[in-house]
Amino acid sequence: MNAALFAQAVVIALAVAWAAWFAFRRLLPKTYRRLLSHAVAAFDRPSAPRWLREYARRAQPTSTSGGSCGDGCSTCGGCAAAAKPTVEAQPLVFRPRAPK
Amino acid sequence: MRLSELKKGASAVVREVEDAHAADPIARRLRELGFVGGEPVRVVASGPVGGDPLLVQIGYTRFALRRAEAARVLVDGGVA
Amino acid sequence: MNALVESPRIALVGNPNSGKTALFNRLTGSQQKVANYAGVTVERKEGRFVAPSGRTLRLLDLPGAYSLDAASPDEAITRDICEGRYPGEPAPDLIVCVADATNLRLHLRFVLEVKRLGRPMVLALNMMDAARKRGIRIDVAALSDALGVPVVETIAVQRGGAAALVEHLDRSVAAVATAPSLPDSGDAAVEADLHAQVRAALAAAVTMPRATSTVDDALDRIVLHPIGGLAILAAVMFLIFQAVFSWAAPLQDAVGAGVGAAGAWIGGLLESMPLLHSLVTDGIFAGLGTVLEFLPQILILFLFILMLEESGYLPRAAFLLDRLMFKAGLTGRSFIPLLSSFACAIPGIMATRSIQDPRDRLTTILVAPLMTCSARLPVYTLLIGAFIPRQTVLGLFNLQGVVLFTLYFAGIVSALAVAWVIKRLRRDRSEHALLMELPSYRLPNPRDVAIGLWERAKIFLRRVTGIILALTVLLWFLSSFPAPPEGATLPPIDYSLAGRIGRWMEHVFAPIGFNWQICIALIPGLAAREVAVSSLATVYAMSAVGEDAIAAELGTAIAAQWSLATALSLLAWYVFAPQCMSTLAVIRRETNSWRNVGVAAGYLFALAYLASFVTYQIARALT
Ligand SMILES: Nc1nc2c(ncn2[C@@H]2O[C@H](COP(=O)(O)OP(=O)(O)OP(=O)(O)O)[C@@H](O)[C@H]2O)c(=O)[nH]1
Ligand SMILES: [Mg+2]
Repeated sequence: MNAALFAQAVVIALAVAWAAWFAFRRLLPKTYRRLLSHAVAAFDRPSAPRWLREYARRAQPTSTSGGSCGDGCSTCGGCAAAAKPTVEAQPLVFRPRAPK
Repeated sequence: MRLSELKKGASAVVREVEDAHAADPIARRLRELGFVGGEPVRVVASGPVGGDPLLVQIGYTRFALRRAEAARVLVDGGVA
Repeated sequence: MNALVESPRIALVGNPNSGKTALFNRLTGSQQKVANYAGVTVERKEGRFVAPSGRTLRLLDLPGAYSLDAASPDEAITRDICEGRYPGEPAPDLIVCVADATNLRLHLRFVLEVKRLGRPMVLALNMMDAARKRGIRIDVAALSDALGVPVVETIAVQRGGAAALVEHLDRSVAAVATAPSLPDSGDAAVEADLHAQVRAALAAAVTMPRATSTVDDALDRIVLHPIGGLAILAAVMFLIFQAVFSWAAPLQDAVGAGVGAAGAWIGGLLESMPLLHSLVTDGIFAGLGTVLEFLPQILILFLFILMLEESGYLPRAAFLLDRLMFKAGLTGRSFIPLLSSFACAIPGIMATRSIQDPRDRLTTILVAPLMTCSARLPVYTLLIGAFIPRQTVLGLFNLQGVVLFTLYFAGIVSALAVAWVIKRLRRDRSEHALLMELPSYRLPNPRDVAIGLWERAKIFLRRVTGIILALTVLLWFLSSFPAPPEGATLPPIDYSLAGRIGRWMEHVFAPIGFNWQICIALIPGLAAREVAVSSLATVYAMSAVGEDAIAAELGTAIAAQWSLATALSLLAWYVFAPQCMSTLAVIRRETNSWRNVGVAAGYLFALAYLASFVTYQIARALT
């Protein structure tokens, strides 16, 4: 396999993987959140390294109201709530700005 | 006389709101909106088909009422 | 505990349309929906702001209520919060009762009712600008004495218009930590008593030159005229659809040309990499570019919707059409939710919370998806643009606009018909109340309209770069793989997974004239209706062979390849098609029942298939 073809395959694989993840998150928000919180629970345990726990906590899904209308129709106002999740009791944690 | 019998443009004074049946939520709501004894009302307009609904001015507010709702309001001194 | 949790909570309550949400937005800088009719807010919304003293205050925006004796689900939310019965939430530390200064006879009653809860409160006399303009004079001190609550004046729609309120909140919140006084004893005070108190307070503190504004009277005489009013309503509706076509065309062409040029340039760069080239040009540029062209149309539609919402005309339209709705078994209250559904069925379904009767509410929810939402506009305009000639009929109307109007109209008529059938099936003889307040007319503020449009454009772009992009990439992938065998003659899509699925679905959809390309596009269209358009563009870009592939613009491609019957059939399909998962999800959430979702999806699908079948067969026989 030559390099150009390989590069193309990598780019396309990444694009398709992103698309699948995004569509899954949007279309099945509940399932997505459930899976995500399982994953977070698995990583965020005392024996895990610190960076991993930090990361897992950050990925913790915030509760939003039925993600369904988040993708388009702001007139219901339901989306504004989804965009700014209500503040739950949370310990104050300071973390350095991580590059995206 | 009932509010539903008033002509367009006619004024009257509310006597009371009658319950159409026991614990009538519509009658209760009408009272809450200001249809209580002594309050002046006026029929401002009526709908294009069959004169339904009615547009009723009470206090500083205008409410659209269907005739069945307006029939719960008993009024005095109106001109039919 | 986080400091935020302990910061005082302030609830905005009051009659509908008194400007609570406008105040909430002014204080917290949010962009919640404000419109000039009762029942805009149907949910509890939370925000926060920092008072001049540096204290953070939490603010709740609540649905408007005529009384704490709730008659509909949205009023129940307000009642529960005020009484401290809302799940997981103690009563607010301070209640701000918002009243419209031009409508005090009605609004003060609710103020007094809230006062009887015995919680710390303040009355915000809102819309003072409108009151002054009408020559209404309010002696704030006397009013405060008569009611026994502190009173501040506000103008929610002016910068700095809430300063007095903020200052009051800042001062009094510190003091409120004490236990609230006991509710006053029992319900000896009946309606008459509350109203008598209101009259006394008005007599003591308010001078009203006239009960109503002269402008409102004059306009209502014209707008509610039995014949003139209906003519105006028809003209307004017609103007909107004409505008969507005529005004948008030049903008649409410009966007199309821009996207085309960008696509050609990037395509040129990727010439050496065939796979990537196909992903970028056939997938992303063909798909997204086609959808992007519809942005101007959607914005023009929303320009009208925003202006109508703020003007106060919508409840008047509901008044005129009430008889029709009544015949169909809908309550007049259904009008506004159904109207919101023209933007999107989701807010429409949410807005049904202001309907009192649960059965009326369910009927409205079930027919809301029949209102043509703005996401269908791209599908409609694509097909109309490709198949209906741009010509003038009767010397005045743009034929394309007329067809668009007809499609919207078909949706409305079928909604009424379905509601009527539901009523029959239920043998429903219950009473359907109207009891709708007609607000004062207001001139839309150009700045607010501009912000509203900007928000709308952002949402659309976010959709395009989010879900639509993702689905387009996936569709491209499924249409490219598995790759064709050596020496294949047909375009690769014919051998791909998507191509095979499309061919398989074609058996089901052939009787209504859908070819396999349309069948493919129906699937991603489930996620969002516009995606059907981007998918068609991708599918056609990929099935084009040779040189014309580059030039193939979707409109031209389908105009060349589809029969008129197919196009009409697809239009008919989209009048009904239940293809919006978000709508089904919100039906599930609002009715808390899968059965209703099944009913909605089932009947919509059946109607869509039937309508397309009839349309296709008739059109084929005629052409
Ligand atoms: N002139 C003037 N108009 C105002 C003022 N405050 C609000 N409005 C207008 O009043 C109308 C109703 O405002 P909203 O904030 O939606 O009212 P609301 O109390 O939230 O209404 P619901 O959510 O239906 O209960 C809108 O047309 C606002 O533009 C004001 O101070 N002055
Ligand atoms: Mg509101």
